[in-house]
Amino acid sequence: MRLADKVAIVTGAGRGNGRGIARGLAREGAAVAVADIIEENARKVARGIEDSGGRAIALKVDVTDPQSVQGMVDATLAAFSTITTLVNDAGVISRIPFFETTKEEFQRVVDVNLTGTFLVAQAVARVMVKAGGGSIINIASQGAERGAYELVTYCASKGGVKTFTMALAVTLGQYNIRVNAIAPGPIPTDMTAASLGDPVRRASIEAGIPLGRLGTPEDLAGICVYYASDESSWVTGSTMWIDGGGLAGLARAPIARK
Amino acid sequence: MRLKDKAALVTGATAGLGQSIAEAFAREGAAVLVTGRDAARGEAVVEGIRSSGGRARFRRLDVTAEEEVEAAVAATVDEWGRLDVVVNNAGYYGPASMRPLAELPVAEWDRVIQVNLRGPFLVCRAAIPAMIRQGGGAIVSIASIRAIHCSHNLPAYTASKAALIQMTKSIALDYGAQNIRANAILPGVHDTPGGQQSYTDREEYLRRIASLTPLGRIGHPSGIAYAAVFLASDEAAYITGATLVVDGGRIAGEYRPHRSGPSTRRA
Repeated sequence: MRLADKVAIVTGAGRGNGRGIARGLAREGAAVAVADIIEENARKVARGIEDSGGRAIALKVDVTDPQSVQGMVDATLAAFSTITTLVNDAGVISRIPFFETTKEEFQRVVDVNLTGTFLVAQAVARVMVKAGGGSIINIASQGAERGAYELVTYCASKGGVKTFTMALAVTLGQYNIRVNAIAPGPIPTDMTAASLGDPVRRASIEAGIPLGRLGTPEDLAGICVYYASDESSWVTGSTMWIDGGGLAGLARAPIARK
Repeated sequence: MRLKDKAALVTGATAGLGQSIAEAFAREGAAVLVTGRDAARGEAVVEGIRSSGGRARFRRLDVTAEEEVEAAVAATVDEWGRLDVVVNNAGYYGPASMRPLAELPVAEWDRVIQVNLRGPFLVCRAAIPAMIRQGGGAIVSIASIRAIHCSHNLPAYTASKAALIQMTKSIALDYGAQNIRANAILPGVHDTPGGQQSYTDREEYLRRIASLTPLGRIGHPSGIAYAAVFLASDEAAYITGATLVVDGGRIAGEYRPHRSGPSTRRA
């Protein structure tokens, strides 16, 4: 068990990618605070981890609210005494077309994906400074590396997560706090159901992936275990693509749009 | 054991990062063909692996020699019945390559490109058909942070490593359907025998590197070994065409620490 001495907070862990990551960390021995804005989902995931012999607590958190974030940090410390690992997974996507996007909608997405990542990282890093180090893992996206059609708001927020990661790595290195990001490709979850639920669209996305399939939340677990473990003790400021090769380039000759 | 029942070929494995990678692979259960030009050192690496209960063999290999590369791949398959992982670690730069472009001897340019680019090309070219026959495999190439964040006086080296990354991505695109994954590790400055040509005073060198690195120390080869184990293992099954930077935060951004460190005062 590579994470037997670790205590992790995973936000957005009630379902989708966060759930897969929380389970993956717990499987390697980490105690996990399963945090989600939907408390019932967090409870189910935490119960599942405990039923498999792992250690977990369920917490409700709104990552856009500093008080709620501090409550999550305090509750995790009360349960497990320390925090060694943070996975900032809570995120939202906006599918409103660019010209119809209001300031409020843009702000909503940035609030969760970017400001939320900042607020949680800041509150947890204060604990890690006192503890002598830690590992922060931010969830960026393919959309942090390349633009995506009609996903202007989402890409802007995730691009922010990537450079936030790099600047924070440079800033917190001397506290032995490592900050890295992962950039997943499209993964079928509740959040992406509106897009990947369409079989034509799904097939066209799959055709552009060299490994020929969409990712799964479980695919994200391995890299998060690596970043959480001491095996990556000299790794900081990096962004790991985990997308079946999608960002590497054109998997086949492009087909012109009709 | 994360590489149980896998067979691996590691180039430049007689010292430094390659040795550390070969040893870590063996610890994780892989059978390892340790290759390099120095037989005495290579046999010593193999002896160390075997005495810890691992499986390994040494084979002399110059990665720029096409026939030697093909024979090394064949030897791995002959010995262990398969070839699951290739690590392109052999690399070169020397005092003669550390100068600006107009002052670089043509022979030195050729030498750097031969070892750092032609070598991995030949190794992958020989290994991919064997991987296809058995249903897949993983290629891990050791590039450098200087492939994406350039450094002064290293035109051939930085160009060769950048090209290695793009070659890695090409393999990812062309052989993904055959379940072959190809990724690159971008190491920062590591404490290895190869790095000794960069300094005369070791203590001063370590202090200087530490002062330039957010995590405050030079890299240990084990960090590259762990990264290679991860990328070679099934835990990275959905990762291909990607790069993993292992550099203590060096290229993440400008690092100008205040003497007292960043403020932790609350707003």
